[in-house]
Amino acid sequence: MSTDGKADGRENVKPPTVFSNLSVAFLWVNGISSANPYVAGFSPAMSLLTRIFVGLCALLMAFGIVVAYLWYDSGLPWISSPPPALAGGDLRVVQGSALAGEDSILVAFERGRDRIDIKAPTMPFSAADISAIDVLVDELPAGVRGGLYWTSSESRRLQSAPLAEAARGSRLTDLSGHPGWKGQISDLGLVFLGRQGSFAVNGLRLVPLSWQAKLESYSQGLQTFETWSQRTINSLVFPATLKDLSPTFLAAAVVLIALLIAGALVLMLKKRAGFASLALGLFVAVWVILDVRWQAVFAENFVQASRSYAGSPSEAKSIMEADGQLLQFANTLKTNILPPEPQRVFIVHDSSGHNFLRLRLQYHLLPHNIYNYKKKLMPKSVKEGDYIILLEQIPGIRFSQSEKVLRSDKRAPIPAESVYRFPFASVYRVTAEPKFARSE
Amino acid sequence: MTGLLISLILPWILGALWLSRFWSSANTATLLGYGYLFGILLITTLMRLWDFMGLEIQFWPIAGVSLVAAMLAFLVPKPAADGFSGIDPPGQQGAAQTPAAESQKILSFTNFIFAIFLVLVVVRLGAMLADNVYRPMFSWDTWMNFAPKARVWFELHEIVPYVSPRTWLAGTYPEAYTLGNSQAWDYPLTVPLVMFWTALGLDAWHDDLIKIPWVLGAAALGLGVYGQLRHFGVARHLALIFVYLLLSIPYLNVHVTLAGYADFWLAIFLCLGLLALLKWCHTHDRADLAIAIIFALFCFTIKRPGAIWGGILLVSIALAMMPRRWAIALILVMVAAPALVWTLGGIDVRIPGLGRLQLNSSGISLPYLGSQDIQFTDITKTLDLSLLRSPNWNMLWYAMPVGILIGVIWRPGRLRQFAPFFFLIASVAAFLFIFFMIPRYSSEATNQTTLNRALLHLVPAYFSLIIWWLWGKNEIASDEQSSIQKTT
Repeated sequence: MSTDGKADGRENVKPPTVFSNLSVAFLWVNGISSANPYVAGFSPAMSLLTRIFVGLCALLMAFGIVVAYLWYDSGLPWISSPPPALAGGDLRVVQGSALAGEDSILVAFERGRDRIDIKAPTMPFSAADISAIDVLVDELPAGVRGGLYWTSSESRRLQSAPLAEAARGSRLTDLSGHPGWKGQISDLGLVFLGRQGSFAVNGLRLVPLSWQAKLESYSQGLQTFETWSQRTINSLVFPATLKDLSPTFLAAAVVLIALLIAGALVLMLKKRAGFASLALGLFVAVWVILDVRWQAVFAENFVQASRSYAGSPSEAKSIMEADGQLLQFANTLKTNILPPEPQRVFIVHDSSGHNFLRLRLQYHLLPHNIYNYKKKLMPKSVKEGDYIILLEQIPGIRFSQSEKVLRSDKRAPIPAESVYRFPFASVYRVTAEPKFARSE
Repeated sequence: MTGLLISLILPWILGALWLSRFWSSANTATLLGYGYLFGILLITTLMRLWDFMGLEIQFWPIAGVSLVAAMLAFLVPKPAADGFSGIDPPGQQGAAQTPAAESQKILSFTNFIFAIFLVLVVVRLGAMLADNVYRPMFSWDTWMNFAPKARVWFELHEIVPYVSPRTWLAGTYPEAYTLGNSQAWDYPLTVPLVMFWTALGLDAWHDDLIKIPWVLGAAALGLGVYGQLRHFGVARHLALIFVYLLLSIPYLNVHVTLAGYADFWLAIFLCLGLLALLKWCHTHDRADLAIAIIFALFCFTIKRPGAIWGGILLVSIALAMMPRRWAIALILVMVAAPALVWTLGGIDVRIPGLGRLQLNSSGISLPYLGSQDIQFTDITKTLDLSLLRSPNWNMLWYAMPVGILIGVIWRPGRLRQFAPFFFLIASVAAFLFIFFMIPRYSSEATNQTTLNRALLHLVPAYFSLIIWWLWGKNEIASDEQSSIQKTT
């Protein structure tokens, strides 16, 4: 480059300004020549390897800076001495059936009981020294939830916290933010709520307060994959252990810092062209990393779906346990009770708003013509030949076998015959239009 | 299974063939992407016509008519392709500045990147398809609002009317049905018709397989966006990266996987309609304009909010077609009029044939959309949680404001083409008004019921607009060029 700007024919162009340098920063891989040829000629494009190298360095440095900042902000020691541990055999089952081993204890729900209580040996410790409890337990049966409980010198009330979600053997439950985790902790125990199933409890680890423990807890949270529910279509959520520091926010912070570092490196290298592709590459790389976790969530839910539904005929897939019973009931009705052509059906259920049972039953009964809103009988609206389904117990409605009428308080009785009974529903056919219906 | 395959492929064939006859400026990816949606539009319209004529809706007759209609497209002479076929713009000046060896390395690397992201996109679509095949209809509104209609129509082979619960009880229309959700009986019909069509192809009601069109919609969105970005001069590997970013948005994936809601279809039609408008700004090709208008209108038939977003898109299209002075004047009127009305105490009138028009401190009432109270509710914490801290959108909402800022600083010239930016600003303003000022929606936002779903309608469109703003290379047709094109 000529120092006087003349020898290479750029004597009529202006020297670069901050703005023009900013513009150059957005030159692309495939190249758009800058409007200012002086600037374009001054700054050759970064080689591909340089871009990759600078990007990786920036990303790693940014990640390190963020982790270091979070550690500094937490005030925690980086690492502490190995935590005390209790084997499964050290635990005592207070309620529930148990088969004790040396390293683990196999527990199961007793008949008619929906709770398993396990106590740890008495060994008081300060909450200030322990940040988390790692509960080593096998995968819990479906429908079983677990929790920790303890007593604290700071409060007379029994404190509790749900176990961290995890599919595999370790449930590192972070208690450092729990309002009841204060003072001297004693009477530590585990409780499992459910109806049936057995599983092995392999022990407890008291995890001291340290940055390593925090990272471990966070890492476990990242590997815990949310099971989709009816709320998923409205919004996705991270596991509770990640709520204090959203991975999305963390990733965005890393990208921002990496961009600043990359910008500084690029200025040092004096090779500004190609920065835009570098910036895009950084952003996309971190996006892909976040996406890997999302793909794992996706895969986990797909595996669950395939396990639940593989081999089931499309017509018989229910979306949860209660739905299976509704489906069975509806199919029985449609096959054996209701005529093949669509009938008017009134579903009566003691609920308001969008109730899963009544709405799902309505869906399963299609193409019959369903009215599904009331908690009471509707003598003014029913006609001979209509069907009425009483779903679950409904206060004030009863069927008189002797009179062959359906009665509800203060309303005209509806002549009907009972056509089908199911554990949670009864079905009637209207045999005549209710009397005095028009005069009411 | 043959019927299912035909029901899935036929819209593609029908739509793409007809579009190829009239849309000379569209590249292959664009034709395929828009073709599927255009085909869905045609087939659902055909089903309605079929029912209107009193004919029983059966699969093979409609499929046959559709196939004949597709074949008729060959009778229309295919126009010669013009210069806007999506190839990279001439004069790779950046490459001229880099040594040949480095250029070769970059080319190999970009091909490698293209391959990687193509795999990622295909794997994503495949995963969503596989999940849909196994999982039955899962999401609440699907089996409460949309699928019941489709199922009844399938079983009865006619589009039976749905009425309100009160009307049903009155017995005025003995053949009519009603839904379990008292507000959903008059929802637009497109989504149930899509399910109905797929069930016809299956010749059975399969809770799982009738959701497959949602996956095809995602593929169509990817193809349409890719094709349009290529037209705008975005390099192929970059265009594919952007398609990956769009299709990998977790919340979008949820709506394709837990399929059945109308939100995703509205998002697709709105996005591709806006892209057609952007393309028209480049080419002034009447076909682009027609596609934009058709897609904007079709939004009305998908979901009620489609009337708002589709309406804003139609206004944007109108602004783009007007001389600049008129457009600016119209924008000023649209901004000033409500402000003036509000200042003067509001308005509350009945428009014959349309309904009530109200805008005052008591509430807002718009024809077709109904009435709502007005009261400010602060939902910024909810926005922060949903947009910035949850897994819903990856880092999208961090990047979009930055992208807009960069666009304003680096490419302010694009703002001269204000129609698409009018869409951006007007839809953002409408969104903020709805969720901050209408208590019903504020509470739904707070309990995370509708906020993300409303954003889903707009995100693909916003995303595409920002990509066009920052990466689009092809110059917008100037007024002089457009008048030359009109006279030739």
